[in-house]
Amino acid sequence: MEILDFLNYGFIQRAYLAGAAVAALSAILGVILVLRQLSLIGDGLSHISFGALALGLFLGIYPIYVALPAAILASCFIIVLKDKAQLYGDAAIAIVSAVGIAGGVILASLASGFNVDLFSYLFGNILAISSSEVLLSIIVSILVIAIIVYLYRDILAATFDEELAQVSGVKVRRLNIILSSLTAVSVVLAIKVVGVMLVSALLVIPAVSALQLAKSFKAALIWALLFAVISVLIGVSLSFLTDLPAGATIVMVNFFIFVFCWFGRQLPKN
Amino acid sequence: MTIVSVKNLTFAYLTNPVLENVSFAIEAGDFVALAGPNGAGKTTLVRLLLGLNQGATGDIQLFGKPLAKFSDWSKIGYLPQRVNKFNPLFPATVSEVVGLGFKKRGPKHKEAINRALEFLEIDNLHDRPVASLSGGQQQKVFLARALVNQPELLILDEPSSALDPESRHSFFSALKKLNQEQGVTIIMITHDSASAGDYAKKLLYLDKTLIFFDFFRVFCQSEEMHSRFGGFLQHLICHQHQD
Repeated sequence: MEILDFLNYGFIQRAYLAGAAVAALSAILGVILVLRQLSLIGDGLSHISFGALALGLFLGIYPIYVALPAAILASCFIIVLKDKAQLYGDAAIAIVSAVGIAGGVILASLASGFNVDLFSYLFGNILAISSSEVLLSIIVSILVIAIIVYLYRDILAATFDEELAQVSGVKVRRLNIILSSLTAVSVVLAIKVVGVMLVSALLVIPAVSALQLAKSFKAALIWALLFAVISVLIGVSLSFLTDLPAGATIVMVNFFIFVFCWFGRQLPKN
Repeated sequence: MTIVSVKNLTFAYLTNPVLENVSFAIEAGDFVALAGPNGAGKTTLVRLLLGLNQGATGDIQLFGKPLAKFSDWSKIGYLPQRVNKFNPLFPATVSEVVGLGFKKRGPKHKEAINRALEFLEIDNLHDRPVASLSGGQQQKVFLARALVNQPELLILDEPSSALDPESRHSFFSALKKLNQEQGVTIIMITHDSASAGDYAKKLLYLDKTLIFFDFFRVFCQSEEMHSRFGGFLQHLICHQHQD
């Protein structure tokens, strides 16, 4: 059983733990975002995080400390643009996304010294995650999932139909701001796992796979969570055994799960 | 008791006037058919009553409270005219959808869902995905959702549009039962003037401004209304009210 010896390595165990926690969180939020046709919000927030990470490196501050508030502010800005400026949701996301990338590129060109660090955030490096980052990922993921469980009924109502939810007394605007902020937290955590370029895959693909099979909202959340965790476990293991980049391998495993689920759905019922 | 009071309500989409100086009051136990031509402002009026559209002038009161201060939304059930726009990819069972409107958790939640489903005789659909149901069944599920809180006021926007004649009869019979046996006040937007005449007690006829609001009987006996609507509308709705 020498092939399984890698499971004893501390960095592999840390990658499993942090990756599974962040992937589970992203998948649950992903189901909600996909059903609300906000799949691209992960891209927008990861791009604004890219700009914020560059700013952190430029100013000599731990980049995640800059990226987290920047992503939360950007998520609220998307809601404001959508509601007050009466833009389509995807147009609001596109604006935030473009500004984030542009800002990051300008900062990177102004101070070329940190380009290597910045580009490491583009593709993530879960195998280099520290114990304190693992702890942070687990605690934040548990907190965010607890908030989602607490607001479950309001989230389901607003995801199904915002206006009906509003007439039922749900504070839809407040709920949207909470959900966007939680998504921002999830995106910033996921950058360490799969990198800026692939964050939205962690949000969207497990959710879409789950929606191929689920017959209820609750089942969709559970399937998405399972697929996300399985993809991290398989992806990290394959990455170590085949010397492939971990983030990209996790995303490819997710894609194969999606293909499997899609074919499963096409099979005749009887 | 006055359930809905509207005074001098005026609303425009940008520069297009939709409602002009509309005033009326709906009492507890009323069953009001809200009729009028396309673009007359019927849906806008209902959306204003529910706080879904902003920017109107005038005064709206629900259960004696100004709309801005009204918070007891469990007293109101709403069935929008959007069943056909239901996202078929949304994974939700009938019990999940019906339970959306009910805030309390625990056994009361299940009890409320079962009661609403049994009332509409669709309790056999409890665990079925909503996307797998026919248009008529989906319409009943959405009505069950509107009824799950046992509301005192039920607002329906063209509820019969997705129904075949048989479903339509059982749907309106359920509404009649709600109004007559449980005293639920109903406001129903409809183009189906035959059903309106059969089931509703009062007619609110709107065409940007309020043209008529009273009992069908009064409408049918009014010479002014006879000359104004030329016989078409009266023929359909007045046969029930010629006493």
